[in-house]
Amino acid sequence: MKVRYGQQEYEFAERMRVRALLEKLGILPETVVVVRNDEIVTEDEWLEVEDDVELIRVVSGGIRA
Amino acid sequence: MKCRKCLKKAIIYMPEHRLALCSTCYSPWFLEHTERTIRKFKMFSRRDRVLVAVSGGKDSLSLWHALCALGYEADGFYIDLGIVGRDGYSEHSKQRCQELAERLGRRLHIVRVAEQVGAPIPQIKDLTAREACSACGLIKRYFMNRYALEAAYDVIATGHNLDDEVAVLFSNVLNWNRGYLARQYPVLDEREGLKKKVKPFVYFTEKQTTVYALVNRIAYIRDECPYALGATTLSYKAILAQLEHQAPGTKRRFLDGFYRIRALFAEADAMELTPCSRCGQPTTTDICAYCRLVEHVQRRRGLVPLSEPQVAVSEAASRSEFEGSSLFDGGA
Repeated sequence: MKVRYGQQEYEFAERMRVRALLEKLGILPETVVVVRNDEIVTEDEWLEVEDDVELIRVVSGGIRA
Repeated sequence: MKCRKCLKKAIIYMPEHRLALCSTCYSPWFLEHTERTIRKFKMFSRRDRVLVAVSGGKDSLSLWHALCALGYEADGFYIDLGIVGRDGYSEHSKQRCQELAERLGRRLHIVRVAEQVGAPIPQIKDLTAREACSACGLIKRYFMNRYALEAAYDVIATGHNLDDEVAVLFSNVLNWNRGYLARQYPVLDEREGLKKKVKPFVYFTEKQTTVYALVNRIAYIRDECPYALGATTLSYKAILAQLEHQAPGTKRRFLDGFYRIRALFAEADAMELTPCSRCGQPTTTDICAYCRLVEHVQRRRGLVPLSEPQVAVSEAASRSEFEGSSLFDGGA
């Protein structure tokens, strides 16, 4: 499974749930949208070894208080 | 996980609402909640002309799209900051705004900082003692207000979301910025030369606005502004995300709790505004901060004073994708 997160790329050899992937990478689910093969998926979905996964970061910043 | 409304496969679960929705049911839910926030805070009606401040990012473009989908008279206003960065940040963000303007069939007003101030944001940062975000914020607030007044818009709408507002509140409380606390609210009414400003997305998380953009195929710039990297706001957001993860609804409770007691800070906002002796925009001093910034930049660059600001208006498409398809009828 290929996983893209910003400029970084990861590869995993076993299937796992979205929740487990995010835990492995230390990413809070509230901070990304998970797209599997061009389809948005929730945390309970399974990711297969042949899947292309993109983690779209949702946090923007730089706003003056 | 299944959509609570139609039992199709869900694309988002929102723990704070205990609600899962599919790609079909998500946008109607999102639009209904946008309308609810607009009405709750009496932001504007369908008789008002709304100027949406767009940056090319997911929040502001989603806001523009949502307001048009709801049948509001909403045009875009883009400020070209002249930031090149690694991938032509300002040019790309402007393109995203122009693409949506064409798709919506609405006007996009464009103003270029380099033409108005005499230098783009990166040079302003180098020529003055100001941080880039500080100069950028000052210039954006000035242009938004000035052009909304000059082009007779009734209200300025920005895409600030729940995460933005809570991070700013967190910062303002940590530093006890009473003046900022007094003015932190989803609606700032018109007064003494200041146009009304509203934040219709104040109750949406960043994840919710991102999903709206993706579901509606809104192309937005994903790169962060190069000057925002490492900004304090981002570290506050990381702390707040952890709190929200452990106890869903924390951010909303923090913000709504503050709204209920914000009157305590009203005194700190009781400054009198008078017209700037140069440009006529409201200020608490004789010459406003924007005019002082322009003077400083032009003196450092050896330039003569610039003429009156000009705004370019992009070509609007002949027909909106929402023409005749408003989801809500009647005034707010």
